Amino acid sequence: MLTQPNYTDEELVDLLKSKDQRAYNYLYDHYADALFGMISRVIGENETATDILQESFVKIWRNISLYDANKGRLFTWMINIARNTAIDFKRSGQSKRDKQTNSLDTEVNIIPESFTTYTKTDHLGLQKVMEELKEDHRIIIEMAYFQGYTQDEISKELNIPLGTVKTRARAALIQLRQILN
Amino acid sequence: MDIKEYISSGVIEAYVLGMATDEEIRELELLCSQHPEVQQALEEAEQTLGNLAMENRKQVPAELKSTILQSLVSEGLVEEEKEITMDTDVPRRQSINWYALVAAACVLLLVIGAIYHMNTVNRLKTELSILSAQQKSLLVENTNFREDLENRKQELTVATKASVAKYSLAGVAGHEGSSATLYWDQDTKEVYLLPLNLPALPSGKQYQLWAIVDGKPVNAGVYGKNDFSVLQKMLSTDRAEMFAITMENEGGVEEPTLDQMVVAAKI
Repeated sequence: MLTQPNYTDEELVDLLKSKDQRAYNYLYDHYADALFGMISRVIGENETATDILQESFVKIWRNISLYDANKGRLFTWMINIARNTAIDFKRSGQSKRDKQTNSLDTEVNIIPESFTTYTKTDHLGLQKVMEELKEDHRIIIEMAYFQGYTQDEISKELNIPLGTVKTRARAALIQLRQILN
Repeated sequence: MDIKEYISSGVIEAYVLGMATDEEIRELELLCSQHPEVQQALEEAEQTLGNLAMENRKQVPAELKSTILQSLVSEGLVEEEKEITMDTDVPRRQSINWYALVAAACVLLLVIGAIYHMNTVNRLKTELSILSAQQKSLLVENTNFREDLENRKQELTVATKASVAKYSLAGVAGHEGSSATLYWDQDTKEVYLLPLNLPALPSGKQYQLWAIVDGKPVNAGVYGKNDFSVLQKMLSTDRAEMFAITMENEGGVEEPTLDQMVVAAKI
């Protein structure tokens, strides 16, 4: 990693588009662990995490033409690809399980189930950070960011207005920034 | 629109957490391009989640780096390279290897060629010396044959001449197995000796021919050939009652050593 130059996002995007292997080496060495952590955080301890990481890298190369540097950093874009790929995977698995259990349980309370899945697998650093958050803030980040719920779904699950979901999201990120700093 | 109110509404955070609606996303993108403070708030929120992601890193199994690269290569998304780092050095190093390879091949060919050449030269040298020795021995053989042929010719000429008489000198007591042949030309008085069956001489000795005239031995010449099958012309003799051969010291003597007589014949 030390021998590699520090590329700017623009240079990396150019290298990515030209299929240059240096882009892969750089992105992998710098960000694979972060993408893998995100994937593991979403789907839990699961051997398919490596498959999803591979799928995420393929998506990064396939969709690089859609990346717009004006709308944010390349790293944020990549993390979101990994996060969304993992959420899609988890949803497709869950929907299968739900179909099997729904006939017995009409009302499936998905929030506690989700929580038990990831609390076991939390990275220690992240676990500590998350525990320092106020409960209201933590739930918003868990549901939206790690589980892929929409505002409407969160509003209904938590029985709070849409505007409150947003203001809690803002408060959650402000508190998160304070903790991380 | 009150930008401060917009920023504090939490729509930016809803966006970065991935739960904004399509309508909210379009509005946010528009406002970002118009209001730097919106852009800045967005960047701060993204930065926070980026830091969170870095806090949450998890080590990937080591073998995955090449596995994923292979899948990207096989999908045609990344072009494979031999070297991971120092890419610019690769072509140059390859070209050096080419030169070295060609040079090594040249040296190898040269060495092989030199060894082959040396072998060939040595083989030809040996063959040449064998041929040269063969030629020498053939030349000697040829000379011998020619001499031999000359001798036989002379012998034949002498023996078949009408005026020539042939005498057989028989071995005296103690030399019963020995004999010699003498040709005497009655016209020219020339004498020829063919000492075919005389015993081999010890070194320093020669055979000497004597003509006995009026009871006295007269020197008729020393036989000088090594090969006793060769006819030699001796001293001409007008008349003789007898011929005899003695073994004498090299060069001949005045008077014959009688006890050294080997063969003799009366005429």
